Amino acid sequence: MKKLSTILLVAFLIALCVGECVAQSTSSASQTITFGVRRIVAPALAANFSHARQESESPTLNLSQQKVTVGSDIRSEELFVGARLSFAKKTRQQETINSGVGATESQSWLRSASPKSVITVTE
Amino acid sequence: MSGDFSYLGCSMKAKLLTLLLASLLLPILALAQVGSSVVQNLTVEVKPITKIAVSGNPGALYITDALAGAELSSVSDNNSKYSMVTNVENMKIVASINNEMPSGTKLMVRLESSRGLSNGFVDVSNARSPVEVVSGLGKGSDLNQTITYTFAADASVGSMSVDTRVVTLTLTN
Repeated sequence: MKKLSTILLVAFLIALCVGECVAQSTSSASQTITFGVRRIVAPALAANFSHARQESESPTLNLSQQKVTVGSDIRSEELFVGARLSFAKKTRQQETINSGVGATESQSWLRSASPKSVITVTE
Repeated sequence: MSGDFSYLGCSMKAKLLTLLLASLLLPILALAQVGSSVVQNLTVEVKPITKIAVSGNPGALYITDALAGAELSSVSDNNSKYSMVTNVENMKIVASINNEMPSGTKLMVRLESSRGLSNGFVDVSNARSPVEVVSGLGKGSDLNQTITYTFAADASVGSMSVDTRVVTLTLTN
């Protein structure tokens, strides 16, 4: 019994020495990283809108369950998408069109007001 | 002749006397030269020294917009620095993160090194276990080396509120 306790004591001392050696060859320093994301333009819309400006096409933009079609002449317009999946068309007078229930009415109004710019919202 | 002999006898006597006196004085001289000395055993040891420190936290990494058609938006910061010193050969610096990064985002870190080999940008997004960022560090110091963090989010990530993670840099063998 005495022998066993001696062996245990020696083992403990060796482990302590080894632990000390390991601890002394390691050093650490920490940094706190702060991050966040805030989207201003939906990536899909930005990509397609840019494409439309270059090619003068009528691209189809998929936003959630809504489909937005932009007409060919968009040189004097800015199109952007907000957080609630609504979009606005800036001309001489700014008009915002929600892509929800009132989309059909807004669509027809735009067609009559500006023949150059046609924006169609469908589900 | 006898006078010569007496002279010689006297001279011999004088020499013998001188020798005798000298032999009697020698122990005294010897005793006078004996000093006192002590012995000390000195135990000298240079323990392994490893130290790493950072200058502070990097600036906030905010992605505020998406580039047209970009798969991945990213933002970087290289305003923080680290310094290290060691007297051990073949050391390395490893990095770990306290929590995994949110889905669709990445956190990468790059440590410059003039004494070792930098592994370039290393993805630490899921590095709960340490990953190597600098290797082959020898004895000596490396002061004011730049740390660059890059935070990236793919197009699937919408707005995300501000969050934090703790990145730990460890100098080890």
